[in-house]
Amino acid sequence: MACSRRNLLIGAGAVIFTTGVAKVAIAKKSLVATLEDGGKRYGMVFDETACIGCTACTDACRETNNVPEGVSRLKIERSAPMGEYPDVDYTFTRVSCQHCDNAPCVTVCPTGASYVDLKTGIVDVHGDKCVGCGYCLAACPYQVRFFHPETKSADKCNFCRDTNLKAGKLPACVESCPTNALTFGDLNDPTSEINKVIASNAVYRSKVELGTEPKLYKVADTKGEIKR
Amino acid sequence: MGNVKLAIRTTISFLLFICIYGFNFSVAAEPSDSQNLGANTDGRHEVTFIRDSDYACTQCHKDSKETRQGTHGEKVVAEIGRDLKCVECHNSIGPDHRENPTQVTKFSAAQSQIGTHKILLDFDAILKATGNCTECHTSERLQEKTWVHDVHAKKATCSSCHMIHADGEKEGMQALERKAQIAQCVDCHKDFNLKKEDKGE
Repeated sequence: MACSRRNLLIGAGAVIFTTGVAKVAIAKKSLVATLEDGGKRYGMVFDETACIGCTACTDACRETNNVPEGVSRLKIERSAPMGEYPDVDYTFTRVSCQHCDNAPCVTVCPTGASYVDLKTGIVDVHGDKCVGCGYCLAACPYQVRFFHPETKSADKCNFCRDTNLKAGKLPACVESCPTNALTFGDLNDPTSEINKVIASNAVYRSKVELGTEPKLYKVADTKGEIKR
Repeated sequence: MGNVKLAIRTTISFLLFICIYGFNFSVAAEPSDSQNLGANTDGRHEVTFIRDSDYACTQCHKDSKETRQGTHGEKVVAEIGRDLKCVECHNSIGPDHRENPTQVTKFSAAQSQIGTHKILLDFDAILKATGNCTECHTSERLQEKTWVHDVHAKKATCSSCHMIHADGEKEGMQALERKAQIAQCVDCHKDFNLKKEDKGE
């Protein structure tokens, strides 16, 4: 046997070192590549000033993506009433996946079920790889992930990637919004509608200080506190 | 000739007698009638309606009284202890009501933003129009039901969404499923957007 214990350990270490580094290198290159290679980086703008809180979007989402009752990929949260009758007003905000470029749910996933799709920048879940450990649910700073009661895997908004986007349509929420409060598009394309909306409005993103680099922009309401 | 004079005199005095006799009856009848009708067991006077004030209305608006039952019928009686009359909501019915019915208070769909179907009113006009409803349906009660009332307080009249003469359980907003209710929001608000786009805003 020419293979001594020392050689084996060195060899094994070398294999781990090279594959590990290679993986990191590919991952790094790919994230940058989506920005530089002209790949798409889908994002969304939610205009709080336009939203009327009708929740047509949440219903459309549920229907299009077969989301059962009790869980939801998309919620519209309503503030407490502000002002006195007849001038009572409310503000609304969208609670859904922010499709972070640097997504904590992807980082913590032990099986690779949670991933960023490098062609679109969409954060998605491989249902069959998910073991249901729930790390991603805990890691998400926006608290938008849940276990699908039927598939038992982690689930959340994926911009209708395997439903409407696949069929060449806009995400269900965008399609259903009566006030055009939602704009969906490619952040890499400087001429896209979404970039125009971002450029011409005062927008914010939630919890950017965490370094998650979310791709859900919000046009702040003119009333009340910004819902970060 | 003397016979004719006598006959005329007799007739006139007979008619006079009948008139005085009849007048006596009517004078005597009023106090005795009210005593009989109004006397209650505890001695208090009970007021009873002597005629239906809605009678004249329902001669033309034939089914209005029935269609009102679902929303403003039994529930109102349970709340205020008596039935509503037409004029309690539809007031300022003038003498030329049939020729010029625009005077009468009506409850039609109206909104404060330009749309395709509904008429346009300013905030004050809408508040004035809904004032009659909000006397009973107070802002607190409305808010308790749904927040949607709050945001439309001066932007749409009640009848923009609700059917006032209808069975609330079977028709109108409350009878709709959640989805159909949302469709009502979408109907108007989508319309506003299309209008705005038309104007190139």
